[in-house]
Amino acid sequence: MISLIFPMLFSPPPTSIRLEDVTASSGLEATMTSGGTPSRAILEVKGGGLALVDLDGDGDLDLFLPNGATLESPRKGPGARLFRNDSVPGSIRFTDVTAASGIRHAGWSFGTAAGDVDADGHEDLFVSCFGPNVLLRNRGDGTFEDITARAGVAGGDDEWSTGCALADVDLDGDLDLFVANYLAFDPAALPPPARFKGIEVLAGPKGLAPQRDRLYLNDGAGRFTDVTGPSGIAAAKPAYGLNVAVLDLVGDARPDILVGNDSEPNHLFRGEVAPDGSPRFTEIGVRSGIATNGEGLAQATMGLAIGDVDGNGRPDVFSTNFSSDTNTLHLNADGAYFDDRTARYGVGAPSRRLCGWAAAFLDLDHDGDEDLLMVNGHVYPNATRDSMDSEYAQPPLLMERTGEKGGKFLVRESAGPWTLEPHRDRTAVFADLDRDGAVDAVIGELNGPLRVIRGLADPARSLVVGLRDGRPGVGNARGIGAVITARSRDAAGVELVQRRWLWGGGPFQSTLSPEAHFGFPPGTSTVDLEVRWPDGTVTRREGIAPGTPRVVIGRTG
Amino acid sequence: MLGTGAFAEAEVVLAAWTQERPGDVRLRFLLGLAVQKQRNYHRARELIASSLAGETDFPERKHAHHFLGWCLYYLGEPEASAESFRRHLELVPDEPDSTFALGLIALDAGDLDAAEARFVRAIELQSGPGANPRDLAKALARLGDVREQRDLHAEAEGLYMQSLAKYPNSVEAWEKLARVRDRLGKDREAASARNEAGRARERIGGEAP
Repeated sequence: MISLIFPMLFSPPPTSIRLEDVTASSGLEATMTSGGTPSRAILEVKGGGLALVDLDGDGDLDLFLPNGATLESPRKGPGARLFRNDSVPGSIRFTDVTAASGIRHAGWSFGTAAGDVDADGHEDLFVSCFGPNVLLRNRGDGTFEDITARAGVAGGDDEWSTGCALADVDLDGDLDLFVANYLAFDPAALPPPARFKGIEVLAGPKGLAPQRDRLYLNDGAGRFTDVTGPSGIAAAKPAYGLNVAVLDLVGDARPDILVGNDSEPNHLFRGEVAPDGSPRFTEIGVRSGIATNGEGLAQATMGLAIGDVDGNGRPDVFSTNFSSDTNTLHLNADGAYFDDRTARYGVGAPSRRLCGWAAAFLDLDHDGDEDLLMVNGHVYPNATRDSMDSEYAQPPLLMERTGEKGGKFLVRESAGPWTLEPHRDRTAVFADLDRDGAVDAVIGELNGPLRVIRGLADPARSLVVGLRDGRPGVGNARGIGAVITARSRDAAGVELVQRRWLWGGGPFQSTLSPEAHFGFPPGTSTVDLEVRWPDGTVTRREGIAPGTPRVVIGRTG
Repeated sequence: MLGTGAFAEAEVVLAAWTQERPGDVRLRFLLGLAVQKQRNYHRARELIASSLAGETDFPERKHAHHFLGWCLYYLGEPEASAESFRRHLELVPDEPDSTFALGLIALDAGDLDAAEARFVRAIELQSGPGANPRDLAKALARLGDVREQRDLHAEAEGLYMQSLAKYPNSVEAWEKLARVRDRLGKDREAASARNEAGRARERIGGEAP
C-alpha cells in the first residue's frame, strides 16, 4: 500500500543509517493534543512544539511538551508535561515528573523556547500560546513558577503565537525573546471553508488577518521590554509567522532574525546597532533572496534547518513546505545573497507529495556530512492522492548526503521500519538522549503519541559538544548563537571542516537542542574544536579523540 | 470545452461519457487531460497512463506521453518524467514543450550544459511563425536561470528582459530580473523590476504564475 502512495521512496540503494523506534521501552507516554480529529479549523492543524533541555542540571536532556487544547475549550487543555531523562547509554528512558514540577499551564500552546532568562543557572521555559504566552521560571529544585506577569512577555490576549526563540540579540549576555505571531482567530466563529485543488478545505491562512511578531529585550534579571516598535521589527508588514531562527546569517558578527512566514514572503531582520547603542533591525528578506523560492513565490515555510551544505563556512537555510510545492534549500552565497539551490541538491522533487514540518541537518551515519530528516503530514484531513496528490498521513523523509560537498541528498527508506509509517507529524527535536554518541529524536504527532527514535550509528566516530559560559551574570550560558567548528583529517590525510550553529529557535515551534553533534569518517584520529561565541571571542580545544563522551567547552570570567 | 479552458466542466462531461463507455481509451485520455489541467496530477497520471496501456490508437495518442511527463514532473518523479518526454520526442521530434521540459529536468539535476542545449533548442523551435510567445518567454527565462547559475549575471539579465518582452505578465521573470539586478548592484533597476512584478500579479489576478 505504502509503495503505491510513495513510490519514489522505494527501491533506493541501501543506507548505513540505522534508526529504531524505542517508544515502547522509553516510558514516554504522552499525546500532543491539538484540537479534535478530524481537524475543522486552522487553529487545530499546527500541533505544538517540544524542548529537550537539561532542566534538572544533571547533564542529560529532559523533555518538555507544552501541549495544546481544543476548539471547545481553547483556553484549557490537558496541560503541559515534563519528563525527566533517566537514560543510560543504549537505553532511552523518560519519567513523568509533571506533577512534582508544579507546572500547571494548560493553555493552548504552540511553540516553546528554553533558556536561563534570569541568569540563575537554571533553564527556564517560555511557551507561546493561542492567547497569553507563559514564562515558567525554573527554581532549581525541580519545580517551576509562572513569572509571566513580572517578566512582561504575555503578549496580547488576542494573539496566536507560534515559533519563538530565546537568543542574545543585543549581545549583552542575557537572553532576549522573539515571538512569531500567526493570525487573528476566533474559535467560536469558524471562517467559511476555502478550496484547494477544487476540494472544500478548512480556511486559512489566506483571508485571515496576519499578526505582527514581537521582540522583547531582557534586562538580565528576567524582566523584558517590548521593543517591537523601536527595534524596527514593526516596520515589516505583518505576515503569518510560523517559525524563527536567530543567528548571524549575514556574516557581520551580529544576530539576525529569520522568520518563516506561511504563504507570505519570509522576513530576514538584519541585526544592526542604533546610534544610541540599542539593537535595530532592518528587514532584508526580499533583497537577500530568502523571502521566497527562486521563482519569486512565497511558500509555507513550516520547518527550518540550518547547516553548511556547500562547505563555504556560511549557514545555509532549508525550509519545509506545503504539498504540491517543494521544500527549499537557500544557499548562503556571501551573507548578502541567498540562492535557491533546491533542485541542484536533490531536495525538491521528493517533497512534492509531502507537507513538511520539522526538519534537521544531522549526521546520522557518522560519515562526516549532514543528512536531512524531516517529518510530514497534511493539514487537510480530506487529503488523498486522488483529491490533492497527497495523503493525510505521511511517512518521514530521510535523505542521505552522498559525501562530497557538491553531492546530492538521496532519499533513503531502509533506515528502519518506522521510516515507512505514515503519521500526522508536526514537530521533532533531536539530540543524543542516551549519551551513546548517536543522535536520537522525539517526534510529535498531531493528536498522536510522542515517539522516541534512537540512532544506532557507531559511537566511536562522533563527538557531542555542549557549551558553558561560566562568566558571572551571563544568562546565555549555553552559547545560543555560537558557531562550533570541527577540523579533522581522515585516514588519507584529507582535511574535513564541519560547522554547527547553535541558533535560537528550532525545527518547528520547538527548541534547538543545546548541543552540537559531529560524525567523522573512519580513520579519524583526533579533532580540533573551535567555538566562536556570540560576542565573537574564540575558544579552542585541540586533539580530541572521536568517541570521547560529551565534550563541554566553557569559558569563565 | 478543453479548447476554451473550461477544464472543470469538461471533466464532468468526460467523466460521464467515460462511465458510459469505459473501454474508450480516447475518452479516458481526454478526461486525464482535463484533470491534469486542473493540477490534479495523481489522478491525471492514472488516467493518461491507462489510456496508453493498450495498443489502441487514437488521434492524440502520440502526445499522451507529453502530458504524462508533466504529471510525473509535478508528482516529484523527474526520471520517469524525463523518460515520458523523451518518448514523446521520439514520436514528435522537435516538439518544443517536451524539449523545454527536458531542459527543466536537466536544470533541476544541476546539468547546466544539457539544460542550456535544450533551452536553446526550445527557443529556436518557439521562434517560428505561429509560436506561442508565452512558451518562448518561458524558455528564455529558463536559459536566463542557466546563466544565473553560472554566475553570468549580465547575460541572465538580458535573457530575463527578452523573456519579459515576449510575455510581460510573468511574475516569476520579473522577480528573477530583480534578483539578478541586485547582484549586479543595479538597485534602482531592481526596485523597478519588483514594482513590475507587483503590477504583473495584479494583471494576472487568479491566473497561475
